[in-house]
Amino acid sequence: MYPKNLLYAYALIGICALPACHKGTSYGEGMVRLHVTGTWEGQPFQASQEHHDVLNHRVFVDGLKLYLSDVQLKGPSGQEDLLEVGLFNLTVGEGVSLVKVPAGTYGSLLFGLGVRPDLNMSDPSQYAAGHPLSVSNGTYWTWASGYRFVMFDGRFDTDPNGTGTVLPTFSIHSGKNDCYTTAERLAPSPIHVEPGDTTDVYLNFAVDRFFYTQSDTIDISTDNQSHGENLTLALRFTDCFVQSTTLH
Amino acid sequence: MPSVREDNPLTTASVRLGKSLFFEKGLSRTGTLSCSGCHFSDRAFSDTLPRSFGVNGEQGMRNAPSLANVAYHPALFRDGGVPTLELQVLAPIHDHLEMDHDINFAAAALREQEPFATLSQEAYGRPLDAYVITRAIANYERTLLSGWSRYDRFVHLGEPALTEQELRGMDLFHSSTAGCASCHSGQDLSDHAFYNIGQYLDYADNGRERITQDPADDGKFKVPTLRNIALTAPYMHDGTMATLGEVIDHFASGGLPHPNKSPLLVPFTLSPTERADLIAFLTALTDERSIDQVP
Repeated sequence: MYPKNLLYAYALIGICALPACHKGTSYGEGMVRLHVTGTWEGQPFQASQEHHDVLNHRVFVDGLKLYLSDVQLKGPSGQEDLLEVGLFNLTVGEGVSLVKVPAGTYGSLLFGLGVRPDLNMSDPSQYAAGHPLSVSNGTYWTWASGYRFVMFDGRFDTDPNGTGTVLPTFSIHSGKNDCYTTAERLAPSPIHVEPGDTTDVYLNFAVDRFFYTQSDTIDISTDNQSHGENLTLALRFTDCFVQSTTLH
Repeated sequence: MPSVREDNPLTTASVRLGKSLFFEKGLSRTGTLSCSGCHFSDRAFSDTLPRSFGVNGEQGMRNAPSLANVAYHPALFRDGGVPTLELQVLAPIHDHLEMDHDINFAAAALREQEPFATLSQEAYGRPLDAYVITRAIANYERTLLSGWSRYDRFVHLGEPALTEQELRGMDLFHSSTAGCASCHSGQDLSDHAFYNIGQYLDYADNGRERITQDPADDGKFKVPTLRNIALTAPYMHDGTMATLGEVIDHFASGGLPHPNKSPLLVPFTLSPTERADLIAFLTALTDERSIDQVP
């Protein structure tokens, strides 16, 4: 029933994003290519591969989609919009968005994990298929009239030496405005955007860090379901998601 | 006042389109289920099953409520999680337990068909799409009005439309003994608020808490209208009470001692005659003409 070729096209590029409005071309502008990536212990994240989490559980991540809102580069002269809202499917690889910004030097990236509250309250039927907020993306909680911000799904095994792959599942879907979280990540070195050139900026999610922070460890064998009814767990995971991010 | 939106004027064309879509099975993934498949017009637009079956053969989460007077509801669904009729339309179409489809794909498949193609242009000046579908069905639902029962004729027109037994039941309904009217009040015989009525000690479905995340809302559900209540069995959010007698017996018991149970629920005793009187009154709340205004 679904136009699979269309879905596949989105899957290939791994992104469905709505770039923020930006100014017209001028001599003092360059391009920024924003990459949203995933890693597991420093290696490129691949879906459905066997990993071990911080508690040595076997973990297979089968689905990882997330929204980012209000992504901005921050420099001495202010903030420049890169993306108003985007849906990134890291299950199929990195997501990329190309945006024009004033040339200059920037020191950090601002972003919101999730869908900004005013957009979260919008009517998804006004967005055509292909738009990041389209109901066709399967990210909208119709019962709560809001979007799922992060969809993190997979399987786990408490036996670190297990060999089976048909396993209990975890399904962590965060959403609702309480879970919308903004953050700023400093660039390890200044980001120079030269006029007429393209600069690559990488926002990375360390998926192995999705299960712990410095102050919290989530046992996926017991805390493995969140679909809007378990806000406490959704907020714990949200904290992990945000703290896992780095800019490079 | 009913919730007519400025961006969705209640026009004849939009309502006619909405009705056509309400009865259109092409809104489901398999082409086998329409809105009317769980909201029967001869049952005040409710279902006869405790929980309706979707296109995948699985049962929905809750009992399908009557759609009568939904235009007056400040929030939709039994937990009040959806603020508008337009947004509500998305839920059954996309719910895997119901129609399990994608509204954009459904619109694409129906766009060239009549009467959708013509009515969509006439009503909204654009081809059929998700925007049109949600607005048209919402407008049709706004026209599902209940207010022509014998009770209405008695109260509003002063006609001797109720029997002696029904009048005794009405007095009981409004009495402090049964206390029904504490929550089943107003023109819709519902205050549209959310209460825990002590149906369970441990609710499998947390109701309003799922929306508010407030444990004090565990087990709370919206007060249903009592209009056409004799047609809308089975009862409660999960459809587990088959008859009005069972419902009355539950309230007479005072309910189970759930921490969130409303203090309005206190045990009371009815004689068999009083119980029958109350049921007779509730039966008099059935409309004498169709609540569907669209020919």
